[in-house]
Amino acid sequence: MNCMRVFIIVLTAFLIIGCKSNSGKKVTVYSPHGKEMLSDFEKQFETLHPDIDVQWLDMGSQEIFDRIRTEKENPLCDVWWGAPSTIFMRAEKSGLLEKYVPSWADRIPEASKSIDGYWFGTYLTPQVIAFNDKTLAAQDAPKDWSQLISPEWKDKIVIRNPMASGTMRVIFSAMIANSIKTTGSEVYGFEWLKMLDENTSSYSADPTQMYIKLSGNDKAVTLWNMPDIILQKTLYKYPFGYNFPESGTVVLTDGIALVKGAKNSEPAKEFYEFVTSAESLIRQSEKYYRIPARKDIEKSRLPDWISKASYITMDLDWQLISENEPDWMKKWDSEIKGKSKQ
Amino acid sequence: MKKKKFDASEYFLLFIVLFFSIGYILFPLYTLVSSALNDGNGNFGFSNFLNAFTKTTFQAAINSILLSLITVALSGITGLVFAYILHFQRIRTKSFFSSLLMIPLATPPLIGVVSFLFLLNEKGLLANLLELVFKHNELSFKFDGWSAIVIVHVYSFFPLFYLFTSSALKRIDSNLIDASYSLGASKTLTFFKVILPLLIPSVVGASLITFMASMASFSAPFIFGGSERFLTTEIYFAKINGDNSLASSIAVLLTIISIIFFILLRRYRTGKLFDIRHKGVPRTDFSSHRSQTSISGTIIISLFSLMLILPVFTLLYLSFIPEGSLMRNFLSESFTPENYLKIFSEPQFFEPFYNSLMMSLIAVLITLIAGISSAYLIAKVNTKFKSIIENIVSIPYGIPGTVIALSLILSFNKPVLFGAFTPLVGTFIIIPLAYSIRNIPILMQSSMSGFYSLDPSLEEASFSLGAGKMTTFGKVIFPLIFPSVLNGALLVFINSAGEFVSTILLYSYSTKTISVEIYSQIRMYNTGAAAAYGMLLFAVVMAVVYVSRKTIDKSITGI
Repeated sequence: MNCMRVFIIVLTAFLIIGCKSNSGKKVTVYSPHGKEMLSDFEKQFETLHPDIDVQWLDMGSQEIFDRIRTEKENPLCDVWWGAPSTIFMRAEKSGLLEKYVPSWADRIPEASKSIDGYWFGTYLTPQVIAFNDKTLAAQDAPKDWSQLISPEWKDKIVIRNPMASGTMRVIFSAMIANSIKTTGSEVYGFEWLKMLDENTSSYSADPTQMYIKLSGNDKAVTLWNMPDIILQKTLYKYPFGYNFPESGTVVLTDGIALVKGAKNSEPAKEFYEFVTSAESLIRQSEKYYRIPARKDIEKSRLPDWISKASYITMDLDWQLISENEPDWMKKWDSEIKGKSKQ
Repeated sequence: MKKKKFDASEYFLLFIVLFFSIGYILFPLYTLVSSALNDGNGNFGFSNFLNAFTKTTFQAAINSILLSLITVALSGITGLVFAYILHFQRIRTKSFFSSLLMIPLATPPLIGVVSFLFLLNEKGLLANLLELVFKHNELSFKFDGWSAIVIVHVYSFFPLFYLFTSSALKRIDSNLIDASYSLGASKTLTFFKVILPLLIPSVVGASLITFMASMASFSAPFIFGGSERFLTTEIYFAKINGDNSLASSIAVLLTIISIIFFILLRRYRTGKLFDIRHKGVPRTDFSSHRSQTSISGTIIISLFSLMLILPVFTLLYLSFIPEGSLMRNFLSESFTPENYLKIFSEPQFFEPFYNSLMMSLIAVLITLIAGISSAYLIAKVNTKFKSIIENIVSIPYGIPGTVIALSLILSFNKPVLFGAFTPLVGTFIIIPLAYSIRNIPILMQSSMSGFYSLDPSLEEASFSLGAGKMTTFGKVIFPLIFPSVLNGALLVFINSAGEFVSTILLYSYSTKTISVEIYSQIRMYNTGAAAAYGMLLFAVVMAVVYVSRKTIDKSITGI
């Protein structure tokens, strides 16, 4: 019977340790912005507010959306920092967001914010064609959307599994929205996605797996956002290069919002204001290659690379994308993904 | 010892069992099925369930079944070869080899996946080693898709075949084989005509268990699946896409397939008892046939064993490599214990470790209460509910972890009676609850075998000496069933400590477990931290296995 006694003692000991409740103020942040930027701003914020504990979970923006939807009755997240505007539009419609108008609300263009004040844009994130620059020179890498689907890149393309990735979902949906705009129907867009799938060698479960495949495979090519590609290259010496698609690239608006029914709404507002202040945005642009969506920050205060980055912005109907993305992605998943491999 | 009427304490046990099986087995299943029958717009009907399936769902179903069949076939062959060599050939340090087989069995699925990933992917240990040796690495490593999933599956499941067949081999009378030889049959003929037929029952048993486990497997298809579809990952992606109705429909389909195999397994278990008649004591010592050590056998077994420990070794090695160095040539880095120190010094890193242990202990506690109660009712009390209780409490064994998690989310994301009128989603308790639902059949089975082997006269003796029901249970029955119960409880603990499949859907910031933490460290490519957590989990599980063997041996000999 000794064993039973030990078991009970261990259990009570654990229960006692477990009950040491941390009664201090805290704020929970769900964000896809990556551990480097998140832990940096966690530390900065905690130095300024030693009484508030910042807790963050790093997840894909689509996963965050699903979690917040699941937790609707019992919200566990306070600040949702980072997702394409299309996802925020849907979250707003589903009543998942709390109205909050930040101090800088009037300094941001109409297109980069919710009209009713549920979410606000933080960065403009251009999507790029990234490649392994150890085995591929920039001039030999694909330079436009149309080149990606040529047989030359068969089995060279790696893609982050789009179902869980807000970034990939927006890129794919933008192709269809653009097809509707230019040809009047979505047929061409789906055709393009089908040919891209034929060239795709694998879909990765998370961004890191994708980076590894991109750096480990000969002449590998992917579609991803510019800030992450530069950040990974500078921090971890990944052999990454990128091209902006010549005909124009998808530039999505990343945003920030408070979650409806959040339990720590006061510290959440503090955190919201802190990470979106002009100083923070400048730091994010210097260290994490984010382009501020706010237009009031003078060019001279921002790093050089922003003015040097020259890309054409694809003109897209974001409302249309937001409304149709789930159906388009479902169609892609059931009718296109992996079909060429069978 | 059969009674006509329940007394108060038995009513109480019945209440516990009914509360658990209605609240946490039947109610979540009901919610799941009704969500599958609902099209998301409030329309209800069986056609919604069928309409939800597109060609891709069937593709996923075919892939899942195919994967399970391949896993069964390859694990079966590997396990049989291993058992055959170890049994029929004289191998040095035989017991060492067979105890190595405990490694894959005790390795939580996610740890297996992660260690293979670190060993064999583009930036893995093997790729780096080759680069170091040949300076220039022309070999392009690729570890994903079918081959990767199958390798990880075979690694995890073949020891099961080994265990089942080797225990069957031990029971074979060697006179049968001598008879076959003396009648002129060759070695091959003897194997196929005499030995194999005797092994079939255990091979079938192991196959069914492996098949069900492969159907429910999530970690390997999730990490390596790529563009391949499997039912478990399709459920996850449908849920992520916000399509709860589709997710539930696929979950119901997966559950139906699993339950069919579960029923087959149970029917087979009750019908398999066939016996070989022999006179006197069977002679079972085979290795005496060989007078010298078999060299080829030793080589094959050693190679096998190397493959068995290589993944764990990779994990151990990487756990001592500083963070972030995997991008550089990490073979030249110096070893450091910083990954381990971090887990034990920083509370935010220690919490997942604490959570995993705590949740597993709570799961053990819940299954102990509900499992022993149901086993007691089934074994001791004559009631019409007997087989109903046994069947209901056995259901979760056929339900994959992904499905359990999904059904809990759908049932407890609103205040309901069984969630004490608070939404349980995101709370601490929902995770150990999922573990206990999944594991209750194990504890029920193990305590039932304890109750059945109990001599009723002991209990009667206790009563006649004036002991009450409680005293009898505490002083007589419990100590006697203790070894079997403990066996089950430890299995529950091991299964829970490394659980990933349902936890990934149920965790929140404050309820991260080791497995979730390993997954997110991999997502951030902190291989050192991921490996250190993996090693800690592995050590805990191994320690539990070791201690349990000692304790069970002791308590058996103590009676």
